[in-house]
Amino acid sequence: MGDIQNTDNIESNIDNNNNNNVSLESSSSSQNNNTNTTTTTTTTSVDNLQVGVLSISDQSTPTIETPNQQQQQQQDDNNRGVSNETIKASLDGLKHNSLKTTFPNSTNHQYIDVNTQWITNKLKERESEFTEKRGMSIFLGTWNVNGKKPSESLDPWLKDPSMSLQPDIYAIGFQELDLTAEALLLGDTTRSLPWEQHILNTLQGDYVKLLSKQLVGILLCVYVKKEHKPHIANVQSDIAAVGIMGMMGNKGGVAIRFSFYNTTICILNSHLNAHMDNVLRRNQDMKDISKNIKFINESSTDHSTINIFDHDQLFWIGDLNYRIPLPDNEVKEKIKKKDFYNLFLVDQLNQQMKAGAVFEGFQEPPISFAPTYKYDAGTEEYDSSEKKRTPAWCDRILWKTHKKAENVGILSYKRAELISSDHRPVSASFVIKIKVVIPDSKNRIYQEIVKELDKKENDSMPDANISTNMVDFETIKFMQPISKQLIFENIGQVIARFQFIPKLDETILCKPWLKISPLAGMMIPKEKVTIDLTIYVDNLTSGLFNINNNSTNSTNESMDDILILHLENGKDYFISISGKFQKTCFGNTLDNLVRYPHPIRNNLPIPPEQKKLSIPKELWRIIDYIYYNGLKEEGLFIKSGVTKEMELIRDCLDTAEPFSSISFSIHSMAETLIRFLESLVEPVIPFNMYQQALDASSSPLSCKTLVSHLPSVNYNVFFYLISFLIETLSNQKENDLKPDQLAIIFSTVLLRPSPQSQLSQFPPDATTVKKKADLILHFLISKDLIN
Amino acid sequence: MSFPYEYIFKYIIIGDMGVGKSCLLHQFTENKFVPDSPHTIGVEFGTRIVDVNNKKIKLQIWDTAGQERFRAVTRSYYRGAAGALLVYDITRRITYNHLTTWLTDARNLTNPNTVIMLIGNKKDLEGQRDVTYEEASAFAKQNGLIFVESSAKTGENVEEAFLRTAKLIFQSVQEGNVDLIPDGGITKNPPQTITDKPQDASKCSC
Ligand SMILES: Nc1nc2c(ncn2[C@@H]2O[C@H](COP(=O)(O)OP(=O)(O)O)[C@@H](O)[C@H]2O)c(=O)[nH]1
Ligand SMILES: [Mg+2]
Repeated sequence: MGDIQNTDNIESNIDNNNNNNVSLESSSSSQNNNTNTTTTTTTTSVDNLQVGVLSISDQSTPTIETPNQQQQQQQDDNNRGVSNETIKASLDGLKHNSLKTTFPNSTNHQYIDVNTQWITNKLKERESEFTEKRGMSIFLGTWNVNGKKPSESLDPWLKDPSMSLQPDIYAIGFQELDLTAEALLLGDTTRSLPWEQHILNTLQGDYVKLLSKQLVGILLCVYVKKEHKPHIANVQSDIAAVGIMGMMGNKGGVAIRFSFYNTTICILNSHLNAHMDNVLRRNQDMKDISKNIKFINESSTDHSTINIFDHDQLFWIGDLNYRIPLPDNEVKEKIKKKDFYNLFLVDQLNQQMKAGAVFEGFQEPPISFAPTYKYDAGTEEYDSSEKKRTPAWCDRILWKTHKKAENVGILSYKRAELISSDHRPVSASFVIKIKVVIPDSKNRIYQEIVKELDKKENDSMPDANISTNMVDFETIKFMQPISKQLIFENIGQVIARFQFIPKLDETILCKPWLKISPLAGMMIPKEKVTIDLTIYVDNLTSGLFNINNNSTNSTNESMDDILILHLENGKDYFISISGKFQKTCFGNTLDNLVRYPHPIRNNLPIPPEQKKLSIPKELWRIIDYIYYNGLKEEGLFIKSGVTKEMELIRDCLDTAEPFSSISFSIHSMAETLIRFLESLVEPVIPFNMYQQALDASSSPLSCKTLVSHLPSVNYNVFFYLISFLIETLSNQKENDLKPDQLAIIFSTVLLRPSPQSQLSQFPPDATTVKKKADLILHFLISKDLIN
Repeated sequence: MSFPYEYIFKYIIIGDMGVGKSCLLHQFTENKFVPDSPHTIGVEFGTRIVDVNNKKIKLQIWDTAGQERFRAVTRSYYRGAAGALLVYDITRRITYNHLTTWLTDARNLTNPNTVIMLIGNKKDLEGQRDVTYEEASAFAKQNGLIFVESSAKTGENVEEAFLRTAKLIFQSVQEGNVDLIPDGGITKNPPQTITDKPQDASKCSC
């Protein structure tokens, strides 16, 4: 509980001050001078005080420049020597009173918690749903004590017999509590102690002090009934000085604000500038004070500030110093007749308020008591001095209710007959409808609000709909691409960005036989995107399904994958891909093919004692067919086949259907031979012999040696193929084929680098092509090389 | 001044298909029961800010697909979970029998401090109960899990399940067992204050 003070700042200001020894010195000497000259009783008010200029601003350290001359009145306790100790002790008070609380600089970067702000605002909007109104009373008192120490009982002022119950809040303001220069210059607040003690004695044990705040002679103390203490929060105070030079604390205001249950209350005690003709000055004082007093906004996270008007109830009490501009005797006459009404009509404050010149929106309870100023102290007589100050209602209590809050009810407005000062104390009591939180309701509404926020946040996540999570491609054939479409639709409120992502510990998005397009994209709300999924099994990927699989009694190999389609800041969609790959002799291995006595798609198990075939039967069927039907064909192996026909031939090879069941040109069969060899997962001359083969190509003998080292199936295939090609060339007259043509065509399929090797470059360079062709050519032209 | 949330905890909900994982998520984040929501094919998530020891914590809950065929893929979402809710359906013993496999996955794929909570869902279907509370409770004890029976339909014990897990995670954080690293499923908010000494955000001037 306490003032919000930026301690760091104060600390550093003290340091600054200590460096400023000169100013301290001069101020203490001025104090001593001062005490020496203030032993006489005068009626000079502190208004006329002449002092050195104490410059105070938010940023700078207070410094006291050359003090001129000082007049100070003190009626009791005259001999107050000011020791250095006292000065030191009161330094704290100086900081306290004359340094404005510094607020964080709004240009500094800071984390602004907008979510909490939003929740707080929502909660505020719905306050009526979780609060109930309870009438509570507040007592406000103001007294200009004219520098007097407490001497009389405060009961007549503070104990209001008309109130059946004790007030829930007491706010008591004094002015001219301390007219000493120590108070003015050094912020000495020791004079307030006896007054505060006196008040506490009067209120007895039922009240606790919330806070008291002093600016020179202006003191404001707030007390609450003990039972309310736990329901009070954010107690803050601030001061504004508008005195000498417009900045000294002999005139000004002190404000205390707090949250009372869920109602915010601000009380301001001020002492405005004096004298009959200073009306405009007083108006300005009021405005300056309102403007300069600031508090930290506790319900905001961005360190913003609020002012006195940002409260449900604002009470403004004090010696406002407005006068009655009539001749003294006329005023006194009317007072005698209790004709307060006509006096009030000309009262400066009333006039100014009516004109809208000051205290805009404030109200004052009707005055039914005599002016409270100016009395001969200790008597019931109005001013009998030479000055003969006209009686006036200097001491007032006003209030302003926020437009969103419920107005207060007036219980009383009166003066008390305490005579020690030249002013009479004034008091007012009000009933305030205090908003009291019903904890369960508040909790429920808080939960609702947070839930709403959560829901909004969940809703604002992108959302999309996918046409299916299961894409079944059914039968997939070698080298035949199949595409399926997915429709992805943005059904959320925000832009949806999507992207296929790899599974845990994987770097590829999907299996190599699947193509996804697009891989990533963006959709505005309601927009749809078609995602193409294409399966294409080629030479490079067919091996996955054709070989290394002992489930021999299945014609088809299942193809599966799961794709993860990820929405940025949203969910992930799993898409299962399935299909059955139709096994084929294409994209197979020689080793595998020679194990099957049956066509590859014939669902028959390999007989236990089955010997390996010497060459794949499919190869034999192709070559056998060409041998009988095409050796003399012109352009054999040069002209292209027809894709569709080649697919049919492939089916025949895989199912053992006779070629007679389909029709095709011989060129389709010839190309099938080339494609078959090309599709072999590993070529007839295996990858690991590729480089050797290139090196051997220059010498027929080396070539022979090389071939003799081929694995047996490969050797068989090579031998069979070369024999067939030699046979083909023997029909040269009809088919017009040249050995080097065949050598080039077949060398590229028989001799391939591994796709993973660096040797595989496309297009291959001319020397490599020639070397490869040479190797085959040796066999084609020297027939005995192969035997 | 308090932040809207000081920590983010990542949760995963795992268990067989149809045990009510998605319903639990919706009940917790939106307070409603959607009886016929489509099967989760993929991973969804929801968030909610909760209070634990007066700290606001944002729970980010990942609801995974329970289908066996997605098992391998779903595993990638376990990584970095601060809490795992392992759900079975009290009316279908088979879902209970599969708990060991789920638990093995959870143990292997999360970090040792991950709080795992066993939830027997569909408590409202008492008549069709297939797994007794005592049996599951013993299983939980044996495996060091916290256990609760809930109903995503009536909402019974749903908050309890999510909040108890959050409390245990928070306790772990306070005891310093858990590093504030995103991969641990726990992040401090705002991120730039991670290196700061822990500050009592609720401290107030009065
Ligand atoms: N009676 C009852 N039904 C439930 C409960 N939770 C989920 N369900 C139903 O169980 C089915 C599967 O729920 P869902 O949340 O989709 O299961 P998930 O596959 O684990 O995500 C749906 O038909 C729900 O309506 C519950 O607590 N009680
Ligand atoms: Mg689900």
